[in-house]
Amino acid sequence: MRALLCALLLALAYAAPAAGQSDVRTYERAEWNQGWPIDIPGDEGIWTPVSLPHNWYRSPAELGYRGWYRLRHHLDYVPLRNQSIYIPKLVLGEFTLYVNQQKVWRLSEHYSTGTSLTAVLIAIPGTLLRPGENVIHLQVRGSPEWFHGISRIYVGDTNALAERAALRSLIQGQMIHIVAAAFGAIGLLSLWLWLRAGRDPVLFWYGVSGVALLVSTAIWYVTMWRADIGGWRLGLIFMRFHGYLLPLFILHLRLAGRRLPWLEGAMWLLLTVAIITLAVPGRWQSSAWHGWGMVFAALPALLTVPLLSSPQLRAKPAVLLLVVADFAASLLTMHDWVTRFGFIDFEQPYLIYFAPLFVMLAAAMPILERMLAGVKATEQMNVELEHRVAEKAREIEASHERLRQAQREQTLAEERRRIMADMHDGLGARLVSLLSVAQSGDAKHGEISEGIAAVLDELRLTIDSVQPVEGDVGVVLGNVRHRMRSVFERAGVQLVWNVSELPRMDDLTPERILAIQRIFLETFSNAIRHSGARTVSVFTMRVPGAVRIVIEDDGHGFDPAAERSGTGLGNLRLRAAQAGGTLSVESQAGKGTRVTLSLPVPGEPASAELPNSGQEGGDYPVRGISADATSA
Amino acid sequence: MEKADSGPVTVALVEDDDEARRRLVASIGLDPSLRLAGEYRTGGEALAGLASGAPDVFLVDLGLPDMPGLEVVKRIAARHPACDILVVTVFGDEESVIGALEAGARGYLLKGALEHDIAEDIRHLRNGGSPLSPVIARQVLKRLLPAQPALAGLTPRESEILNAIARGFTYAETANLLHLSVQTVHTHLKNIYKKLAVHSKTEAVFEADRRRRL
Repeated sequence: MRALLCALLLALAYAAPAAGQSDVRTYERAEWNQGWPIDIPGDEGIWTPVSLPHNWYRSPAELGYRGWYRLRHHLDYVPLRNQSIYIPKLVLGEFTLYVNQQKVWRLSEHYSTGTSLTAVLIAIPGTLLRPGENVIHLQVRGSPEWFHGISRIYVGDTNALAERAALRSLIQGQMIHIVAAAFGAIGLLSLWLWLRAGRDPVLFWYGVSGVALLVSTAIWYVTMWRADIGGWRLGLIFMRFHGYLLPLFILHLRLAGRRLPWLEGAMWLLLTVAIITLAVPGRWQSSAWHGWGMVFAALPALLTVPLLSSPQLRAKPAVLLLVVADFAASLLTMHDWVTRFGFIDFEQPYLIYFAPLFVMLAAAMPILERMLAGVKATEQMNVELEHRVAEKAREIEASHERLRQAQREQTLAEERRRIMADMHDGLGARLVSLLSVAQSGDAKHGEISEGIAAVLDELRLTIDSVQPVEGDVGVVLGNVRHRMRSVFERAGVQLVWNVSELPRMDDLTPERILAIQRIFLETFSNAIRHSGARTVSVFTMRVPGAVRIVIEDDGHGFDPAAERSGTGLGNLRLRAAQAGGTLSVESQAGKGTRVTLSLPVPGEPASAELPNSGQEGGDYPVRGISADATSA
Repeated sequence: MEKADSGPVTVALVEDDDEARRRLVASIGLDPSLRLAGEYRTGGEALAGLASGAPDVFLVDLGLPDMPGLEVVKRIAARHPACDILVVTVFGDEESVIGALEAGARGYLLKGALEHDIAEDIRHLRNGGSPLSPVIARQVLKRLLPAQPALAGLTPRESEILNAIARGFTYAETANLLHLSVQTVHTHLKNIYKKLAVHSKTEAVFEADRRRRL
């Protein structure tokens, strides 16, 4: 695409002289008169023929610093249309044009560096021309070491020449500034993007390159002919040609992911040194100009080293395009030098101005790719992040589930162990003893059926303990009553039931339930069988941090002091401990018995108060024993 | 609440254990107010036998050899809504009983209680009472209380009654506690049974509907 554009421009530049052949005369030869006489030298001077374009660098000995060119322009008649002189390329310090001894145009410029004028189109006043021979004199001043010279000279129809001049000035003037302005704008945009989005150094240096390009052209405008800034002018022109290369160089390094402070510093130093040495006037100033020019002409090609040294970058088409553009920039810069040295037609337009165009355009591609890749990477990262979060959540859920499962399994296993132990020690032992009684044949009346009934009770108790009670102690007590109802009915003992609603106890395990049931069973059994009670009452109450379950009977009681070591009491205490609570037994001979089971309510601070010390009072706190399960 | 005194109450039963069945049959035969309408060994026999018509009371053993007793309960309850189905279990273990009540049973009998007169129990149940154990009361409360609007929930009075029974109070004590007559407590309990059956059906419909939508 760019190569095509370049080819088009060159084709236009070459095609231009071919147009309007009939109306325009091309001068490829002129006469040269060395020296600087005040008046126009006549035929008596020494006129040597020279060919145009005339590159002074190629023939320094003959030229010196000043002299006259002479053209003889023969006309059969004076044309009706306006006539002009067109010089596509004019690189000279001072220049004055005479037609038939009359001064037509004059250019004065800083002597040492001269100026590159592109497309000089000078109209010849119609009155000056006459039929026959017209003589055109060009008085010039210049220097070979600054590559001064003059292109072919075209004389003829103004309209035809104006077309060529316009084209030439487009290629060598306007277009350069349009390109510089465009890249300046893009550079500013890049800098803005750099500020707003992520501070990518590549964007920054691209921006700086673009702005440098714009600024360098602006300098050219300001200093073109007017301002006298001494030797610095040369340095600034140098900056204009090569200044943009340094930010581009760093841009290349950043693209390759490199940061080489010493090399970058060295490059800045190099540019500074170049400008300073160019600013110092002297015989070797022009040599410095050539030298630095050649060094910096090679620089674009050297930019590709960091890109080509990275295998990943080498594989990217956009990067390869940039490499090609870099080499093209070097070639374009070289082209101008080779032209100056006379290896190529002196009339060739300067191409160095187009070097940044290629590099900047090509550099935009990897930068865009980089930004797009960044956007894609962010999207990808978001997707992956969501993925990972979901996965983690699943993992956590699964591990929780495993944990719950393990806990369930452990609970089940414990339950199984407990029930098996209960069956083995309780039911098994009773059945074995029943069996031996049955086998011995001397069983007392009802002994076996009583034993079987007891085994059934035990079995029922075990099953009841695993029934779902939702942490409600009331249900446990209710169930005990439900099971024992027939026992009370048969014994003719009245059961007064007063169980209030009780707080939920989530830690009520089957083991604790079984223990509570056994406490009831044993206490009831004691009351019905041994105490001769008429009435048994059960009531519950709430105290801070605990639930109290009280079983009272109106039987004949016992002396706690005498019973202290009794196995019955010890058993009850053991059950209370299994139930996770404390138990106290109060009794007095002839005054009944009161058993109090105290169960802690989870999440409530425990009360230090002992069951027999307070408000519930009762009929017989006189000589109670208070058996703490833990101390038993 | 006594059923109309139009002749004896007809009773059918399904029980796979011969000894247990013999005792049940004998017990029914001893009571003039009851009349045996059929005895079956398996669920299949029972369903076939009761295909044309149902007795007033049907006793179902939950552990049958050919099919789950609950399945028999469900089918008979669906076909003969007027029939009082009583489940016969060994320990009245609460999970089976709740399941049976939800399947449409009206109550349960404890098997193997030699000292108890089965006929007495049947009469008692026919009078509207069934010994609801505290654990069952608690489970019923749990099932019916978190009532979704569409499901049959408990009234506050029914909750109070269940709560008292769950804490071990007898029906009489419960009636006393709540200043009700014993008959009213019985009526409430019957309603609760119905709600349980409805609840389980609605729940099944809901479940099926939900699965279809999934």
